[in-house]
Amino acid sequence: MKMGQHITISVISVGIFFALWQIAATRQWVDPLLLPSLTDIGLTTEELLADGYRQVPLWQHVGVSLARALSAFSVAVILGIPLGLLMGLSEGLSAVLNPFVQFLRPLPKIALIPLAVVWLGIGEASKFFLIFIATFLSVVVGANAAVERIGRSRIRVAQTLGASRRQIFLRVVLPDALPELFTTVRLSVGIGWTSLIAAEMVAASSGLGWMVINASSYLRTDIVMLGILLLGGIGYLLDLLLLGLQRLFVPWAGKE
Amino acid sequence: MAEQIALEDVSLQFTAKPHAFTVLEDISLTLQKGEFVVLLGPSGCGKSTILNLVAGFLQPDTGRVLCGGKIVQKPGPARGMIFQQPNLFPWLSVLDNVTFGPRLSRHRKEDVNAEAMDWLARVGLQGFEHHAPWQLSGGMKQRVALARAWLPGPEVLLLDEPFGALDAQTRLMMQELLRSAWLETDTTLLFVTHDVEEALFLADRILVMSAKPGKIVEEIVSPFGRERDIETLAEHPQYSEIKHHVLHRVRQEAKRHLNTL
Amino acid sequence: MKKSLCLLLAAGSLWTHATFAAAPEEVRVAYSGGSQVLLLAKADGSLDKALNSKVKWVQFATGADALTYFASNAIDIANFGSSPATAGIVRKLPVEIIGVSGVIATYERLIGKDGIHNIKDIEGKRVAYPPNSTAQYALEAAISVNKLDRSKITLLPLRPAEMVAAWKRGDIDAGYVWAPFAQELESSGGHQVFATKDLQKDGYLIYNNYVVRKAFAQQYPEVVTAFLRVHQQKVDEFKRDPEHAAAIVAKEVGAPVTTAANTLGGLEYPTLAEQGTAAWLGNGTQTSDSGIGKALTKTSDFLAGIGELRKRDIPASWDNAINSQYIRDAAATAK
Repeated sequence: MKMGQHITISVISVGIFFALWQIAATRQWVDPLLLPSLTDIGLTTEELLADGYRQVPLWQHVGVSLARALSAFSVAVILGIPLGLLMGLSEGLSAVLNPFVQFLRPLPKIALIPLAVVWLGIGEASKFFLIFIATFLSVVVGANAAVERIGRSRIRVAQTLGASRRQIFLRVVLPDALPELFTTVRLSVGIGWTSLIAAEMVAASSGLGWMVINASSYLRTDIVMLGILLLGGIGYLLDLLLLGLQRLFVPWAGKE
Repeated sequence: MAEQIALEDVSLQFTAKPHAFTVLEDISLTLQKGEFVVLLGPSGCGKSTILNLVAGFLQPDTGRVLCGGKIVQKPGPARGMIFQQPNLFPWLSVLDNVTFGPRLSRHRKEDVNAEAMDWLARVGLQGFEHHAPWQLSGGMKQRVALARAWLPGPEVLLLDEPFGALDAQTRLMMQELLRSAWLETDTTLLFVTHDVEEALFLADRILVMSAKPGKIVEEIVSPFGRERDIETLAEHPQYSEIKHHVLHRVRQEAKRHLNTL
Repeated sequence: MKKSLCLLLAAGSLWTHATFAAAPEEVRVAYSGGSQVLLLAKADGSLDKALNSKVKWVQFATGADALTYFASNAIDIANFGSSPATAGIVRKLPVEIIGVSGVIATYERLIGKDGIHNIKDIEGKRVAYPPNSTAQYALEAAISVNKLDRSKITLLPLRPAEMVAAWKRGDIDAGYVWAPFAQELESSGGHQVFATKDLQKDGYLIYNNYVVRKAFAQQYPEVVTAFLRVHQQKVDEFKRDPEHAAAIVAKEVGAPVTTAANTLGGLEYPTLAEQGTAAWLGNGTQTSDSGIGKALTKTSDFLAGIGELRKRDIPASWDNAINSQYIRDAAATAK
């Protein structure tokens, strides 16, 4: 299927979905409290753009959430990739750390909120921690797996060309793992972004996640919907950005 | 002539349970410097294992493996290897792949690039130096692998069924290429295959192997001269006889292997 | 003789059946985890008897949750705070207020650390409040009444349990909250600075109310009336023997007896008869000007002011939000 065709079909599909939404809401097939119409959400968006939400401008909510998330992502990736690679190369290290990683990773981060608050307080530290831990664990596991999938044969080739262990790691293992590492980062950033809401449940007074939670306690489903659309949209854009970076740095991925 | 490679009473067991078995049993063979020797035998007879021993990826249980008079401890640039898959580095261009070896020991790009271009010309890939590996066909990739392995000037080149994944025409071309490249150097070549005609065209000596345990059951010295034409070789008076004999021997070993399974 | 007896019995059973035909299989009652007189009726099963139905007790963590349950039709009657109730009504939840379960006097309080002597001292400090709660409303009202500078106060939304943790960590200086959390703060070096009762003189009515699904009330009016009668009975029971009542409630909620006693005693209970007058729910006329109606106006204006409600959602009149019929019926038929 050509790219153009693909995009057209997707656009039409989404368009039909929104049209159905608007019809269902205006004809009240569903209680407007549960499903606000798109026009209603649009009106609310205008109001929020003008007056902000809870005295804070809308772009600031977006900015705050992005800042929290991106800072946590960066640290998670910078720490997680080397650790994951080392675990993949060293059985000893893997044996030591694996139980903790495998236990923590599937844990819903919401369960960690009380702990985070008790240890780190109600400031930015606990929010950072919650996003960080979700992303970090996913990166470590992915980087670990990336090492395992490295072609043994390429390493052998390098050995017969006289490469030292260090050279093999830097010049073969790392570049070979790069496509898979990018995939890992994309996945992990997605996971980290979804834990934004959990992070902003802790004494936040700004941020997209907080906006959604606070609005829901007042049954402002219109704001909740807007928040969801924004959260989803930004998550999507982040992924596209990473995809672009992947195409730039790892042009050979998927081709052989 | 000097002895380049020697296996002395080498045995190797494959010990993973539940089926421990002897891969190689009391193998002894020598290769003279500059020789082109082919190991011929059915699948699973241990020919790749011999290559891995010489390369240094494996250690024998008994006996010694020597290269240039010294015991082989680990892989190194003196013993280059070509695998069935080209295993090019996709993040490097063709040229950078070829110069990978020398660049490891800090040779400057400018110095080695010229030699690399020579090699690329020799394997018929001039003009492709800046291509990416995925842009090449299977045969072209294997040619790059050849240039990459040969550029550092190894004493020995080990080839593990390198043309097995290629189509028949490409295979013939690669055989010609390999032989003509070898004729210009004094590298010792140890080549593994199960293709009898390939063995006949390439080898100075053919070592026929049996399977389980792996032993050398027959050695055939090639009567054909140094200069061989792949299209006319079949017309050589001794060709049919040798071919039948070798085929028969190989089939014998293959059948015996099947019966012992 | 036998024939007339049979007829009488038949008529009697028909009448009984007819009277109690209007009883649902199940009545879902939502309540917070705090001490309340209604729980006396849970403990002795009298609510089930009075309503002639099985009562399903549904607990919620905050009043905001009660709204969500109403929205998804998961409950029929709820006892929760006036400000979340206002928020729900303005958002057109199909519910109505049928009675006041207690006016918040000393039940919710502002607890502060050393250095905060009175309400004016919270300027420049970090004060926590549970979001969308009557405590939040009281705090904002206190700020407004005392003309404090809101921009100088760091207001932090925290659920009660988080508030206690933050207090202990030193992350906050004061918190407006209810039992048992307020007591926990007090025992960790806090003291009372302000109580909701202090706002009554400024015309702020902050209370817990009984709210019912309109559809449910229309279908089972007798049940709603009976419910309110039980409430009054239990208020009387509590007043007769506060200690005994506190002990029962404490056991129900799993709190210490003193906490239960403080909570139950920290509310003021207008009688059924009182509630059917203009001071409270009104007598069916001029509902928007009744005490509760005015409270709804004040609360909804406040919520719109802080951006939680849309001004355009606030209805012109509260006639649809308050239904005093049941409370008046209950007062009339109370034993």
